Amino acid sequence: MTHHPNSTCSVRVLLMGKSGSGKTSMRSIIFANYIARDTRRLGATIDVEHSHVRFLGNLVLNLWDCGGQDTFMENYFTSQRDNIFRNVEVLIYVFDVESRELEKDMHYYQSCLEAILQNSPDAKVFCLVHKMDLVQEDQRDLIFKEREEDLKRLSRPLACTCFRTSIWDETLYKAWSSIVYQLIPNVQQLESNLRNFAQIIEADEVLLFERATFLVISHYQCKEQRDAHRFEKISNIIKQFKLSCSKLAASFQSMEVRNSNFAAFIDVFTSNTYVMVIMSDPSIPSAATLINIRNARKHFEKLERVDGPKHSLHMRMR
Amino acid sequence: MEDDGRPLLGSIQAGDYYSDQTDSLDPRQRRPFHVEPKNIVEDSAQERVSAEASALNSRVHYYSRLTASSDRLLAPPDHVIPPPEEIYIYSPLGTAFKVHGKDGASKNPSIVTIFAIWNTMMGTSILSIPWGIKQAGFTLGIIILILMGLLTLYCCYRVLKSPKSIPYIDTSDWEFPDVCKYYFGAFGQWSSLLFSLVSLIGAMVVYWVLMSNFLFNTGKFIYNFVHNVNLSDSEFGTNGTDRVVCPYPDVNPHRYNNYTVYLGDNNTDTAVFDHWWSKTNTIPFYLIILLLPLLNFRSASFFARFTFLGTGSVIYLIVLVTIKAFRLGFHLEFHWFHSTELFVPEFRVLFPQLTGVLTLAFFIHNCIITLMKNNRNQENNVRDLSLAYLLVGVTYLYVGVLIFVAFPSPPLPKECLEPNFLDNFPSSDVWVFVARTFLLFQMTTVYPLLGYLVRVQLMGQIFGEHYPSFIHVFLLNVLIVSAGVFMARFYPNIGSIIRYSGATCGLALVFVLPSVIHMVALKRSGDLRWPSACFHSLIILLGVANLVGQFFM
Repeated sequence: MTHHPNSTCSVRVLLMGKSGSGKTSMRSIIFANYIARDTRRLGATIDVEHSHVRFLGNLVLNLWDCGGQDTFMENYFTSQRDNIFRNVEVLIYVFDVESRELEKDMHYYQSCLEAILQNSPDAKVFCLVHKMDLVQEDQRDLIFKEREEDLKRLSRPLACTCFRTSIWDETLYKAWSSIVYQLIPNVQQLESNLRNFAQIIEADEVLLFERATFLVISHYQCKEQRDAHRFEKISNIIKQFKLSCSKLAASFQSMEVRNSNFAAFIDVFTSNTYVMVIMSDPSIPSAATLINIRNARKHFEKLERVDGPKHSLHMRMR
Repeated sequence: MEDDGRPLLGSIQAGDYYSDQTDSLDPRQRRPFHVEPKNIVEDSAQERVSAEASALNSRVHYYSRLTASSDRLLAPPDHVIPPPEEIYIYSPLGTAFKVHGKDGASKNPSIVTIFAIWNTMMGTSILSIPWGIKQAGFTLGIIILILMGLLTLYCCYRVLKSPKSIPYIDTSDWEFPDVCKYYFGAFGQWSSLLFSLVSLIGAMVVYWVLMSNFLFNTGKFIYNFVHNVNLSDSEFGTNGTDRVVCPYPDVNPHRYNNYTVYLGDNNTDTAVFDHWWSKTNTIPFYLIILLLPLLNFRSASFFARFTFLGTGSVIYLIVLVTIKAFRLGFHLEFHWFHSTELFVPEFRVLFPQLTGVLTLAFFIHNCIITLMKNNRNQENNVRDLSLAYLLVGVTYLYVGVLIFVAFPSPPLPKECLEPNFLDNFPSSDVWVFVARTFLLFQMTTVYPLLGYLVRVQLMGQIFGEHYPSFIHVFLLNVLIVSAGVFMARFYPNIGSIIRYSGATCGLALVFVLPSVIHMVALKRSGDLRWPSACFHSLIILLGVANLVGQFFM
């Protein structure tokens, strides 16, 4: 049963999990939101009012604490269930790997899945096994595999994709990059066109970022690069810059960085993306590259618009 | 959607908001003020950070922007931080320096180490050196000072080298008591602790006596100044502007009575003041109110800030001594073996008293390892230690010789030199008043530090922690203070206190333990030769003789 997006009700990405599993920190890190002291948990997160984080066009991120606290929350949750789980595009469920109540966690997860099946059966489900840095390094693969098997089994008939994450290594960034990659419409076409674009303008590397989170959706490189963590680092740098800009009530638009060895350009690309172009030939003037980017933009926007209006993101990559 | 006609990048030329921030619009002249040296593209062989550390650094930097600085929500937990070998310090110019050494503390150049040793060794024994030279005889005193300096320097060198000769164990953070424990087990540990405590508590008792003395004289000066009392006839001394007095002119120097002379002014007010402001009867008790609370502080870091006062007071004393010598002139006659009415012989039998004082004056053996640890060029340790001892010896020699020589012997016999040479100046002397006040203030800040060291060593050994409970610490402090008050009341002769405590703790920590440990280490590695064994046994005998001599001379 396909869902028809209501014009009054936006399409959601649900970020759920037991309270204390790390959702608020995750959201803050991925979306570059300042965590003010008072929103730290004094109780459960009732996040509906604060869900103004939009990404990928008009997807709205909702955070929900699921299970484990007082009966008020339980009742509110149960009574609002249909409202919460309607029009859900993506469910991201966060498990704390250190949790001592595995049975209870699975129980709550399953009740969320039931609600999804009832209200938004086409939603994609992702499970994040979080706080993996607390597990000893040699045991991480084992523990994650165990959890993954259990979760896949429990999630039938829905298919869930599992990731292991921690905010202290690159796994969080990679997991969310994969999630966002699956949510971009036409992403594979974007990728092939990106390769052509890069080769035409003779760029060393071209990156495509998601606009709100600066997660790298796709990239092209013409030669081996030294630093495997460069995507995350660039993401962090730009997000910090965005934070500084927002303090001045300015919004980040574009950037050029240049020295005798290279030139890098970051600019808006399509409605959902930013592009970063790296040229290692300093003799090519900036203006030339900038014109190239501008022209490419028109082309890429058409690609995005090809498949109909933005709000109805049908499931194409099943 | 964005206007296609607008240039893609905010044009530098057109932006008004840039113009008030820079002088030039040339992009090449505007440099960022902060460079993150992550991957500065140069192929020179610089130390590069590991990829994980660099990524973690980027994360930590970013996360710290997301919360308030006091919020620990996104602070990196300990298990995530790379081990010390992988920690680099970024320089803003693009290189990354690895931190060498386990503690990462900044290393000091030689001159700082030498100064730190000099500063630590310079104690109140400087006040007793002239008396010590007098007790040993002028020539013999100088010879003994030089010889004791060399001997204690050698023993200090032995202490410094002792952790290095322990095989198979990492001794980089060991202090001398740990070395003693390694060689002699619990006996070694406890004995080194005990003797270290003897030196510390001896110093604290001396401090109490001196503080009573200085407080007394300061109060007397102020009282006399306010009430215009002239005491020039009441004390036996020289005439003139630079008075030197002999507080106990015809009394056996081994018996100290409370010898107050009322001459001239039989004012009842003065009598009342003298009754309530007495050097041995009342002031030691007044000091309890000031100092006992200070001893109970949990941490001594506040008092450690005042170490500069010690340096200042030594320098002031040197200046004072120079001025007095200049004013009083030289009074020296050489009588080799017989004492005269005014002069003492050059060689006296009482010389062990000087050796006892000098053992404490040159004592730093319980903390030399720690002091030398932060020396930047460790290969220069021996040279720096020798230079420090040379400097200390020269300072003591200067003060001792000048005071002895300048002591005005035509009216006053040299025998009048007091164990605290400031006592030879009347309380009305302004220069000396300043010295006493300065020293009083300085001692008030060092006394809690010494108490803290006693507490740390004793409580740490017995109870395992530095502050077991308030009652324990309070009782310890009461004991220490009582010892000080008792001595100040009944036996305020700092010369004796210094020489007894110096010889006792010196026996173990200066003479016996370093030599025995060296001989045992050599024996274990099979390198013990007869000359070395004889020499070190001789040192041990000298240490024992030093202690025994205190009781007989």
